[in-house]
Amino acid sequence: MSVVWPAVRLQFQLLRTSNDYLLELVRAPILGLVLLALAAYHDRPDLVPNAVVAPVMVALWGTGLLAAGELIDVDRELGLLEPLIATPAPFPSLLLSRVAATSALNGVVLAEVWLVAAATGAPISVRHPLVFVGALVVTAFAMVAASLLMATLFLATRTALPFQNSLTYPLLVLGGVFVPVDSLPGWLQPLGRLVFLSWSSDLLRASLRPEPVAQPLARMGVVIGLGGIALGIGLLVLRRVLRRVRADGSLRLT
Amino acid sequence: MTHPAVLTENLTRVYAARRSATTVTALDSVSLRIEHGEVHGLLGPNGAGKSTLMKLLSTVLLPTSGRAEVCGHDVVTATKAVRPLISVVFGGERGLYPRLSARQNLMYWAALYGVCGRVAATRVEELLDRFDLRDRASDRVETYSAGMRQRLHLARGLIGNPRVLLLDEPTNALDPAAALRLRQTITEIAAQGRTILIATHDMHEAEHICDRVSLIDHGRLIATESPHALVTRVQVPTLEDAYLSLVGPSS
Repeated sequence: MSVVWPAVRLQFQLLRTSNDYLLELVRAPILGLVLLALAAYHDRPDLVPNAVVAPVMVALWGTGLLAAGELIDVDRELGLLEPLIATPAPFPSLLLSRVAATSALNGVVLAEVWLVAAATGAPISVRHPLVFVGALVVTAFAMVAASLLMATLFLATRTALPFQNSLTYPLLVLGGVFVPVDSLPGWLQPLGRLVFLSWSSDLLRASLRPEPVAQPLARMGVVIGLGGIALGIGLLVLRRVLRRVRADGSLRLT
Repeated sequence: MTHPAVLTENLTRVYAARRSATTVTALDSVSLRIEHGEVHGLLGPNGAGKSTLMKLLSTVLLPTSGRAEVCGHDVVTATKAVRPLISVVFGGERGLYPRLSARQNLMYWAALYGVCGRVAATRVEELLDRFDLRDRASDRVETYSAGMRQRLHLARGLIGNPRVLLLDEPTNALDPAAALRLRQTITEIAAQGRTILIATHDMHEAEHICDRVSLIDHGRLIATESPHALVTRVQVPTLEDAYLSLVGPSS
């Protein structure tokens, strides 16, 4: 039995009715415009890849975090979690499918930011298409995996909002979304390298620059590895959390 | 040997308070046998343990001790076998995506029960017809009346073709006409041979649609009989009088 497509379809239907998600489609191009304006003002064409990648990664992380929290919080608030758990459908597959559907929204964000860059005359082009596409694919995988892990955390707690708020900007900084992790204080860099966003951001920026990309496969492998670890932990913890909430009766609590 | 639709033996559920050592026994050694095709009412005051029993049978809650089976499958050790056989419908506003249409909601729930493609589409349309929702099937659920939502809840409960339907206060918050209509629908569903376990405060409802009722108070099973037998035994004119006599007006 596959619940993947029905869950993806449901998520798209819900996305169309949710202003929170659609807000990213407005926020990302504006952020792109601001960053591109800064690069132009300081006459730093070398920063254009940063200005294009950052809004996409911010949207990616934001929608992933929002989806992870909303899937649990909203379903719990609507009294859906209990009947959902009582169906034969595998709950992890439902979560993964819905988070993946949400992350697909970032394809639109990427197109928007690219259009903004083109409209403002920013010198931007994909210099290494295979690396670019590969980085997008492995990043999407890692984001879905990270979202599952966070959704599990939100399921175990009574509300997702405090976690969502506290995880947004620290992870964007540690993930080298605005500036590469190499530019962070030395003591922060090892921590940043544990966040898949840092590898993804570096790879995407590198794919937009003319210089050859060093060890692209190995770096993609790291993103896959970090995503795989998050997925493994997420699935393991989800199984335990589901058992725990059934044991302590906290499934319905908000 | 044929297994009953629902069987519980000394089923007990104790809730522990999060920040203190106190515990609450929501269900206390309940033993119950419900045969296939039976409409069984669970009667009791708020907090009596009716919803807890529903949750235990629907596998979303684990018992503290004792055991429960649905069609011969243990609800703790054989959840994969139990879940396709049961469906749970909670009353009130909860349990549907309000911003989606009835059709969208039903198609999703169909998939969760492994019903996909044309089979799902056909079954959804049948249920929309049966519950008189077709005219508004494409409208958002948030625009529905309480009666329409409750009919949609029932349709959702039937989308997976369950053998055992658990209804938790399905006529709660409905006006008398809508409640009457829903009771008729429940009777029709039961006539198809499904087992229905219905938790309700409405004695009139229980008297008219239930083959047998179980009275629960403070987690303990007080009596399990047909409404008529209960009324006769307690020697009162109505089930409500029997309930008040056994459970007490203070509850």
